[in-house]
Amino acid sequence: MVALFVLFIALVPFCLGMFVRTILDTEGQNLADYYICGFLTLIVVSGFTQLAAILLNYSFSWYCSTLLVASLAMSVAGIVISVALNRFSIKQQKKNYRDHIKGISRGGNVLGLMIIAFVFIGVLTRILLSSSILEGDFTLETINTCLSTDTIYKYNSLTGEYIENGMPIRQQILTLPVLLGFFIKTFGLNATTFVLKVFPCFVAFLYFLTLHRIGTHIYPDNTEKRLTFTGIFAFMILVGDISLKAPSFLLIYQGFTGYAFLSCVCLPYLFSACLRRKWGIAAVCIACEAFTIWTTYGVGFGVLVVAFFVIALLLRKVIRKTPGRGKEQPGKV
Amino acid sequence: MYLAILLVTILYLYTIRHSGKDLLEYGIVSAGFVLFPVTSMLIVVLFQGFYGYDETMWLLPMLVVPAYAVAEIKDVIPADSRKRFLMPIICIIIFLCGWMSFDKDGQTYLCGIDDATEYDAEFNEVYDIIIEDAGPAGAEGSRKIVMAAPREIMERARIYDGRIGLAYGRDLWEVDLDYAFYEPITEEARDIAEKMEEPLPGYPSGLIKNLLKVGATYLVFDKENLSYGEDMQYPAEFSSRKYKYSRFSETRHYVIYHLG
Repeated sequence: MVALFVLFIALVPFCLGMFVRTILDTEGQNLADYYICGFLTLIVVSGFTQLAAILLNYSFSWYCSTLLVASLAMSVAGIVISVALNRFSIKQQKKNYRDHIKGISRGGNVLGLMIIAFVFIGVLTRILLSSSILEGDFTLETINTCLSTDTIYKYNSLTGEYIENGMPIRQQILTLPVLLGFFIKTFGLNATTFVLKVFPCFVAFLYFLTLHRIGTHIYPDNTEKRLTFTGIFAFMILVGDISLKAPSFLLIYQGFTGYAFLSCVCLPYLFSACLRRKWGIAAVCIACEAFTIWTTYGVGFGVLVVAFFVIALLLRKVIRKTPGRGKEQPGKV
Repeated sequence: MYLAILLVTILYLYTIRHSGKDLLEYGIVSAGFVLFPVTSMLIVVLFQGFYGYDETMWLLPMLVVPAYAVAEIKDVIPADSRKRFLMPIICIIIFLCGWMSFDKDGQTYLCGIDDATEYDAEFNEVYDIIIEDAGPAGAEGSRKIVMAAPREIMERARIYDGRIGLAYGRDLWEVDLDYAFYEPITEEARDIAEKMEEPLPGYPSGLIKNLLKVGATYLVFDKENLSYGEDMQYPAEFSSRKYKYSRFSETRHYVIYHLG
């Protein structure tokens, strides 16, 4: 079952990403985009499935089977439509890969890549060897409650008693614990190990993938600078647990929480989408945030990031029009 | 300190008038909104006070802009000194501003239950004894588990097994969790939580009354809080008029009772 889980987590987000790309009709994406966007979409699909289960009073088992069917169906649809509309070109991906390898093949760049890999292993090591901080979070209790009662947010996660007085709807749509419960139930995984160790490592992997995507956008052709950017960024992740809410701290000690996923994957990927003006992907990130952490009825950090970006673009237009600004260096590739 | 690094790199990029693919502009706007007290307070108000000032830092490109500035600075520094001094100095600055500067001492937090300590193994033993006594879930004659125990056992029970119900939850002492459920914490629960941590009198009638009120079916007492009876044993039972809690098992540090 572990092998099935690995197969699922390797392929389904990728194929979901192809499905989303087809709908949003976005160009200029690479394999990392497919995967990250696909996993964010999986969370959104999980959120809507969970909402349906809660409103229609269906069980956790219903949610699991529906999510499995929906994700597989969308993945197959993504492959079929992408191939039919020629949106995913294997030839183009091979060319991108060859260019990538050519850029890395110089000695200094290979060393840079090895350093980044070493730093990534350092992050994983810190996650695996550090004690998780469970205070202020009840993800594991929620998962165990779903598994033992076969319901979603019908029983108090902290006491196990039936919820008489209801629960905030913004709490009921938080789907990350329930999605983790889906993986545990469907693939027979050990709850504690998966939640406290495996999933944070996966979040770290997505974080590095996101940062690679940002680096690829900023430096599409300059491999040396891209590796420098990625290396410094990665090093700051490794040693950057500067406060209880810093993304690095959350990643290492609470990588299973919605806050860690938001600050390490969702917001950085949204940032990269805004850099590339991919507003459709930004919408996916904002929807994912609403299902991951407590927001003010959908208005969360993602909306603020987009708002700041729009303000920044307007500011630049105004400054450019202002006389005496002087010549600017164009954004270097 | 990472905030200082961000501000310095924004200043650097602005000084060299680098358009920086929107990074500079976003950095200035986000720093302006997050660091200016009025707008940062408005952001906290937007989130209805659910998030504090620390969380608003997620809006800042705290790692992207400095990493970009370091990649760009290599064009400015001459090749020889860059190769020899620049990257090691930058890495040392990042390291000293990062992990080493955050003091984790004095932060007490619930460790992961995969940390093998003597007490963790004993807690698991208590849970296993209770689950075994309750019988298979859904089977005829199986008991519902509603446990009252010292805090260290209550904290991890539902993490260990979702079948273990509790007389009160962690939100009683972890105020960060009080947003999640509308269920009020009763006075009986507060009283039980307090008394479970203290030495018990010979017969704790008030405690037993409250335990029956909240529906507790399993009690776990720390041996240090119990006194021996005349038979040099821990109390065999705590009874009220209709019900009684009977001692049925014990571990190295705890005595376990179930509702008979």
